[in-house]
Amino acid sequence: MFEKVLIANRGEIALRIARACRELGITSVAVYSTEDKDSAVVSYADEAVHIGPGPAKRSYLNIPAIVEAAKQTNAAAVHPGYGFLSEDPDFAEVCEQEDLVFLGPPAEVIAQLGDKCAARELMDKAGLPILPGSHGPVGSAAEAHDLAERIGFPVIIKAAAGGGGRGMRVVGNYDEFLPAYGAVAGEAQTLFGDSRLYVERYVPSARHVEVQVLCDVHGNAIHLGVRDCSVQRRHQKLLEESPAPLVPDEVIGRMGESAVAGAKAAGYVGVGTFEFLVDSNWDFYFMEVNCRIQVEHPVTELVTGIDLCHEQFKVGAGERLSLAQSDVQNRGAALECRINVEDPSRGFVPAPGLIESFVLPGGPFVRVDTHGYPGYRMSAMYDPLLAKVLTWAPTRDQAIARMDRALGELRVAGSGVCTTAGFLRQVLADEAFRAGSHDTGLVARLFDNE
Amino acid sequence: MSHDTHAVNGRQPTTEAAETADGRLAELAEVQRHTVELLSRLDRQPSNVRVQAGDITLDITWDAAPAAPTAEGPLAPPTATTETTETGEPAAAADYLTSPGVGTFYHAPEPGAEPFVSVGTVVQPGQQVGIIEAMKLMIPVEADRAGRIAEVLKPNGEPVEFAEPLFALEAEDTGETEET
Repeated sequence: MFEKVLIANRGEIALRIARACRELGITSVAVYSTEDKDSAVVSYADEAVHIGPGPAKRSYLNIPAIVEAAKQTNAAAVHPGYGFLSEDPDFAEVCEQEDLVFLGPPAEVIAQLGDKCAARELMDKAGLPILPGSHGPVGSAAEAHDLAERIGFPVIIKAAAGGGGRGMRVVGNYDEFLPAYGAVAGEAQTLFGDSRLYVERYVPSARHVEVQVLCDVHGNAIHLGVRDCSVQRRHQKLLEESPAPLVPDEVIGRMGESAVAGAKAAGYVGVGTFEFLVDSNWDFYFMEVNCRIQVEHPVTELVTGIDLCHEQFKVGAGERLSLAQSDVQNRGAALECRINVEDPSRGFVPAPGLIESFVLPGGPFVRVDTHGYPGYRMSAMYDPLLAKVLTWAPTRDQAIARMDRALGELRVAGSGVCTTAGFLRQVLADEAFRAGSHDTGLVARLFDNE
Repeated sequence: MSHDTHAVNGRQPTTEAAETADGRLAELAEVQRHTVELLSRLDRQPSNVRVQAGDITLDITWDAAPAAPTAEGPLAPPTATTETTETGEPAAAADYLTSPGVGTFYHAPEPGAEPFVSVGTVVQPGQQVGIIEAMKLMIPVEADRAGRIAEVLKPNGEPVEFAEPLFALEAEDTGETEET
């Protein structure tokens, strides 16, 4: 196992990784920007290096600064967390060159799966179901237009370099296609510097279900069940759960097998997520692979009892998987609510500031991952995630009741500070959500009803 | 010029008294008395003294600090290495030339060459005073204001963090800022 690991991230995930380090006897090194000098992980980690000023470009996205910090502290590996450099093939490659273990898949795997067109092609060949659409990027707007007509509307136009809900647009009919195509191409060029697009059939009332995979460097791969992330607003997840409600076990089993086949075909290493879209007939289609630990990974930890960060360190150190597929047993139901400093009554605008009062829920089967504390100033410079509240119970109904109880106990107060907790309780009370029959349109519908 | 900042923070024994005008005056008089007593015991005259009564702040500034408060080493957490004033600003940041990045600090453009600056060198804004090497990238360290190098705080070839003080800087004419 590694003696020392540098955590190239911030916020709650940096603290979560530092905790895993402590449990495994690994010395942790935090890195921080000037903006984050008072952050929890800076005092929690064994060591901390100031890598740059507030803007992420000059700190958390600054590859030379992070690599230098790792070398100065003699770290053997770098844990990239999620976001920032976690899916940057250049960073993975630089780590490799500098003899630092990058805790993620090899650079070329990240590059291939990061290109959504290439990933779609690869998974198609590996036998995963994909939605009807273009094979590779479309050559021109006219070609895409013809293709869309053959697939049948509605279709979705996506950027090859996109992901995380950015660089995509749904088109309802033939006339709307060309203007939308131009808009997405422009957006893709601006956001990713890559205007290649592809087109697929759009499934309106779909569920977002993802499979957690775990792979070692020796070619072994298993899956750790699914998470349903259908409670989304503009493709941003707000609440995740496991198992996926109502989805038959047999379907979940096939999704798991598909993800493992896909991971093996890609030469995947580490923890990763295969995202699928599931329609009302329980047909599922491959969407994309997330080459990192995910925000919602604790949901899987609660139902499987497996610590994904520990596993990440083990496979990163070259160990063989200590678990066989049959060792993974899902037990009960778990939910995660993302507590963002956002104001749902004003279109989820960021509402950060000084957190004066901060009381966390507790009691049986409640887990809270947060970097917050009373007196912590939530910066407007980074993402608005303040805390993840999770509950576990033998059944989904009980886990929902427990989550409602936990969110009721949560108190976050400060001038101008507002969180999504109240809105999430509204979701928990929704009939369709309680029945487990909701789809990705749930949040939009809740707002229309107001 | 470089300085140490000592902040003396305290509260009146009774907060009610502090809330009245009389209380404030009494508080101010008390702080002034302590200040005079403190100054009489100093072996070196400070260049600047600032007294504030509400929530009591007392800042004393000297020219050319004998040691940088952030010289404890690159690995200590920032809470242990950064002295802060009431306002939370890093103490005396204005009087150091600091590192523009994480890397190795070099005094000279190449091994064996003359250092860019040494103690006593008068620097102008924009003048190169050192190099930070990060992954074979050479980042020039430039003075962001004019002054005279009072002390070189980091040895040649030493690893440094972002914003770590490299040089103590003093005003070219040290007499100019005397206020007490």
